[in-house]
Amino acid sequence: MNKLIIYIVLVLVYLGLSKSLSPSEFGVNYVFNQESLSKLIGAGPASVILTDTHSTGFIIKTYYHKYKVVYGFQSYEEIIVRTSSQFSTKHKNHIGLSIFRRFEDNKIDITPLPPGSIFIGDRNFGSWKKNRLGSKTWTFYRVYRHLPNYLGWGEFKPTYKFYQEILIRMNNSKEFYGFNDEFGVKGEITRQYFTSYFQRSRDKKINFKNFFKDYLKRNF
Amino acid sequence: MNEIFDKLLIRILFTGFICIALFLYKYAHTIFYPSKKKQILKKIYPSENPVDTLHIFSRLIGVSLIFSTLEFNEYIGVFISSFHFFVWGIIGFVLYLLSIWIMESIIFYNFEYKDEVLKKKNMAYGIVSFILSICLAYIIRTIFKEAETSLVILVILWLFALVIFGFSTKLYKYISSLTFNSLMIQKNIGMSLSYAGFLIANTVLICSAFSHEHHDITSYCIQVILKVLLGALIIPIFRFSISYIFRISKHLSAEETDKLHMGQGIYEGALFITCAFLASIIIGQIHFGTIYPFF
Repeated sequence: MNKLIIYIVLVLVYLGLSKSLSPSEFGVNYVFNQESLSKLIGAGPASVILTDTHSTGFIIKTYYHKYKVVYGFQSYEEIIVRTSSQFSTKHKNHIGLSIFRRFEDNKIDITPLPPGSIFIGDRNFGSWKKNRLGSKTWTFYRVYRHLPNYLGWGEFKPTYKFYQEILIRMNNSKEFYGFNDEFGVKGEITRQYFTSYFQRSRDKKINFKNFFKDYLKRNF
Repeated sequence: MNEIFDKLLIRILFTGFICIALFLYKYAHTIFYPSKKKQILKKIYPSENPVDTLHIFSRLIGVSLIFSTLEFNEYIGVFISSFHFFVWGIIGFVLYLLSIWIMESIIFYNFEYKDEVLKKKNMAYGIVSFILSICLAYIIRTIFKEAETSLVILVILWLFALVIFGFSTKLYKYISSLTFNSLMIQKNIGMSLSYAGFLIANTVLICSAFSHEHHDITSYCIQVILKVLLGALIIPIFRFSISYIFRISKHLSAEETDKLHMGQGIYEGALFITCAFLASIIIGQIHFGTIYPFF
């Protein structure tokens, strides 16, 4: 019995020392909900886009998120954070969406919406212009012309209807992937501009025949 | 042909140089062990006292082990490479002899070389001393490799390794059913084999813990401590598994004879070594890569 107690104490000491002394424990923030994410984001207006997710570990998984934080008045930044399993599962379909935004008056919103929703309709950043078909589309001022690139819009131009839908979804706290699901994990625009998640082969199936063939060729 | 002959000549010259270094070692030994001065300077008759032969040759094997890490880089010049070998050879001597002196003071604090080797011809003492010398040489060899010709790092790692090794030798009484001091007095070979296995196991673990990449000394030392601790956690699992799989009953009967001790000693020694080698796979040869995700 004494030996078992000593062994358990040793295990605890090992885990404690590993946790407190391991260099891998430093430098990565832990995000388990929107409030903890809020602490990492500087002054608004800012749009936090989830660009990639990753998990490590065999039995006990560690989850990571990569965010692109696009600020209104400064350049964007990319941050990697460790997240909880729940938080990661909650946002597994939200790649390419803005999952957090901070307004200029420091208010926050956590509804998953298309990236840069915070800037659409804000007169400080652009204006509505009528196109040939007569519908209004959002155009950024010249000084903010880089924002569509940062936000991964490509040729996408938000319409007034799109803006109104964003406002409704924001009020109802209901996620929005675009009228044709352009954004999110299944979205065409997301696949085109936030490629890293899709480039990694997620469910790579092993062909045992080819595997053994290749193994023998390489090793013998 | 000239070039080949020249290379052979250089090799023979360096061989001679190593022999001179061994000659120097003989006298360096007397500085650290003045009580054994007569013993090492006089003629050795191996058949006369096998324990003493074992004792002396253990040091020689140890020195050779340390020398085997050193290199002659002839392309930087014969003089410079000889000087480099000479300097690091001396550092190796000093650290090795100091290590033996410190560790023997810890392990054999109750025993005297003169009494045990020269008078009693205690083979148990000889075996433990032999293995201790070899183990220390292996540890210093590992440290030499890790220090990468940095004297400061070498000294830090040497002290660090010695503390870990010294501490680990004190744990024998907790994991063995044989008592070191009383059985050593009785010249029990079984106990000496068990303790030899224990020392080898510690050495395997320590060398495995020290053998990893290092960029800064603090995180390196932390990793070493964690690996040693991990070894202490893994070894009991292997020990239990081996005993269970091979259905080994380790309890000594009421009448403890030398024969029983011998069997128990061999079993314990072999088990320690087996467990240490298996644990070294777990602590040193499982590569997780970096936990930082590369997105």
